[in-house]
Amino acid sequence: MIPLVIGVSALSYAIIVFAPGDPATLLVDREQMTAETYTAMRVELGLDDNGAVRYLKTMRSLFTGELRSFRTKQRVIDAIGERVPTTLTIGILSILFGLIFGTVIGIVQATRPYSRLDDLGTVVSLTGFSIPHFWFALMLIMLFGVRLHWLPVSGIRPIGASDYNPVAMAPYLVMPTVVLGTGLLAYVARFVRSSMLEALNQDYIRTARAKGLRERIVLVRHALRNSLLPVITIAGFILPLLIGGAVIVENVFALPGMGRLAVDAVFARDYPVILTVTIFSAIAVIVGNLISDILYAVADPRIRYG
Amino acid sequence: MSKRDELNAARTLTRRQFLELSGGAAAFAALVACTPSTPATGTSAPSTGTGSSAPSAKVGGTAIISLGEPDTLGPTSRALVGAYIFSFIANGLVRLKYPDMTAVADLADTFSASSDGKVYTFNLHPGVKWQDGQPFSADDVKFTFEFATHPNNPAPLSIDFANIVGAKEFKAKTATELSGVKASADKIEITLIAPSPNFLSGIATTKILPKHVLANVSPADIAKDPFARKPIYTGPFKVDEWKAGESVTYSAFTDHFRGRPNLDKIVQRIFPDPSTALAELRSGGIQQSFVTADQFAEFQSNNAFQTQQLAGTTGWFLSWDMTNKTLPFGEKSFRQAVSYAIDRKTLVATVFKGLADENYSLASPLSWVYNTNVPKYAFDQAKAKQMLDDLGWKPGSDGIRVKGGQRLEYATMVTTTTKDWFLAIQPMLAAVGIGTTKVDVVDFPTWISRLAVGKYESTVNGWGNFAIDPRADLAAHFRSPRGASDATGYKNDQVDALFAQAATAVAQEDQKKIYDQIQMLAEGDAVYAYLVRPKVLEVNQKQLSLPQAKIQAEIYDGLSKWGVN
Repeated sequence: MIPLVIGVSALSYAIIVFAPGDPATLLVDREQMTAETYTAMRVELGLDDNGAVRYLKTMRSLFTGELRSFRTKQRVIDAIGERVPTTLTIGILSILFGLIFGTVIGIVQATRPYSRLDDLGTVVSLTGFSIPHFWFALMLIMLFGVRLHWLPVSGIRPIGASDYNPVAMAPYLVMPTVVLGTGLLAYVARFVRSSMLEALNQDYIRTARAKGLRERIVLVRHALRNSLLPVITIAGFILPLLIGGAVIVENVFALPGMGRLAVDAVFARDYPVILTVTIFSAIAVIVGNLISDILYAVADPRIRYG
Repeated sequence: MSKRDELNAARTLTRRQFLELSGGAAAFAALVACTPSTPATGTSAPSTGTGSSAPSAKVGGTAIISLGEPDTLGPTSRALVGAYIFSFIANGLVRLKYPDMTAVADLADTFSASSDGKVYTFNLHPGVKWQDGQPFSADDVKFTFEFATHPNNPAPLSIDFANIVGAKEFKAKTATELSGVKASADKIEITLIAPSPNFLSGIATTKILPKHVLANVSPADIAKDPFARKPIYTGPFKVDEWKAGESVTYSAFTDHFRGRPNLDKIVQRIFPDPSTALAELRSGGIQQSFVTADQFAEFQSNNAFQTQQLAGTTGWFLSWDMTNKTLPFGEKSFRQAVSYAIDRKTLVATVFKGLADENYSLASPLSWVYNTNVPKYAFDQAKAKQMLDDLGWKPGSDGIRVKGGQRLEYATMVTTTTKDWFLAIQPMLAAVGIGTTKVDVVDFPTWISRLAVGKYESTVNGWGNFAIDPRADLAAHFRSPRGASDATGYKNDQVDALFAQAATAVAQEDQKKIYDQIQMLAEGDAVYAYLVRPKVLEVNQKQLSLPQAKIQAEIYDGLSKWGVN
């Protein structure tokens, strides 16, 4: 994992630095930029050192926690700390949303294969896959926020509130959760449907039915349990999916999360922030994969590592 | 798209005439006393106001607005939106009056220059308080100037500060204080090395800092200090809380020296995506914002909203790398021909739905330096063709002009904002035989890093006018050498000589004469082919009352006059 993090950080640093654009020109209003200010700015940001030195300096201050944003001079760690709760809240809610509704849709489809209901489920999940987050988000905003006034258009909590109060925040979380969770829902539904169909054709299901067990017990205890196994593998790529989606969702719904932070940093060429957020996401994905592997082993005793 | 717009929209410092407003606020002081959200900083009745009361605005209420996120709220802020915010939370010795950009009273009630133009005396307003209730004094002013010129301050000395006696010595640590700034009980005296016509407008952007709060903070660390996120100034609104990526909340400073503002609270919401802000405006989630030309009609025809069309802050123009040797960018008559080829009326009508003004100059027609007689190369296609013919560029078989085997064809660098506009300009240029089908769409950071001679051929360029002294606007484009980056390579010795002359002329009328001449020469050289000035379109809910403004900066500058009906 450590070599992976070093690789990710070095690679992303290189990409950031080679991308066109000069942070010094973006920090000062162009109308107010003088030659002296520009020079002082480059020195202050350490932009005149060579690439390798800058990378090492950046990584060192990252590990001592002293790495600061070019733009706000805030500690990057603090900036991320402020943003993590929002992203985590939306992330967990949309995982739950996707898993629960995806599983239900998948089961319903598998038990009535090639029926109208199955077709409907397929349409829903394929739409869920393909629908662009930003468009879906704007449509929801237009309908539920502007037309019907059922839900607040944007933000994470009522104006004036600063704490994380679940009751007050709930209406603000509905649309972001649905938008971010829909892609996941589609994945889960497809997975559950196919593995459930496969399981239902197995001998042990016939045995269970032959024993005279009720259909519900056959489905839930025998078929579902075994067919959920492949779903666990999804956990490995849920995170990249969510991180990518969070960037869009947080921007459209004006949520103060990490995806927002990343986008703002990219537009400001705020190298320290971009780098830290990238490393954070990389670690999250690596850990996600690790957890998915472990879960897989726990769920299926046949799998042994090492 | 909005990144650039926002940047351009968001500049300018200072505040409107508080004198006008102080009377009204005093008259309403009684009401204030029973308002629950009155901040805890002491008594609520300002004693400074006299005169007639303001008309309809009531005291109290909250306004929820949309405004970009600042980088910091401390003195190192470089974000343009910071200037808007400072105009209602902080004060300078003087401030700029919009839109003509002359210096008027702020913390100094009156100010005067000695006859040789070297000594400025500022008489401070009596009884000013900081937002934490502490008394303000002349020492704070001296502290602020020493902070700005401090050896530990990473920022270089600006031209105006370097001109203060003793500033260079203080910066170089050969002096322990800034000897050119003298503080007495209610007076500040600043001595300059050389008379400077720009001095007052130069210091208008310097917001006075509280010595009692910052005395132990090194200027190098100010951006890391809690002050940067929750500052204390002397302005009519104080910062309550800044929630990163979310909002900034301000409350009325009832002890403000020109009287309390009408509103109790301002909530500034931060929207990364303009379409969200628009949806919030429609749904009532925010009460005031700025919209684009294609959204404006919807609000104009809606009775729940009030709208204002403000003058364009940013003027747009085509610019070229004049050092290019293969293409005729260095030829004055080529640039003039392009200017003649542009049908601004059509641009305004089609691309901007009529909500823009034709542009013919770098200086804003609203600023005092603007010369009404500058040459205008208004749309005249025949003339454009004739001039290109005369230059030896003859139409080829496909209509694109050719000279000595070289086709009159070049690349234009645009951003997502300017791309659509340029699509409307392309056929106008093609009509006179200039091929501009090659378009590089780049993001703003790339655009600005390539906007230098040798790195591009042509671009759609814009300049915001109310960020700095209008004379500095002209210098940034027409004086040579040009400082940080040079996009054109333009050099005219006569113009440079006039700029040198302007640096020593102190009287405003002398200044005006010199800058009139500079504009006649430089605009005559057609450094740029000007396009349009898109209007800035303000929308607010009817229950909110905003003062009439000419430019966007005035909206924020006059925030203390906003009210809830």
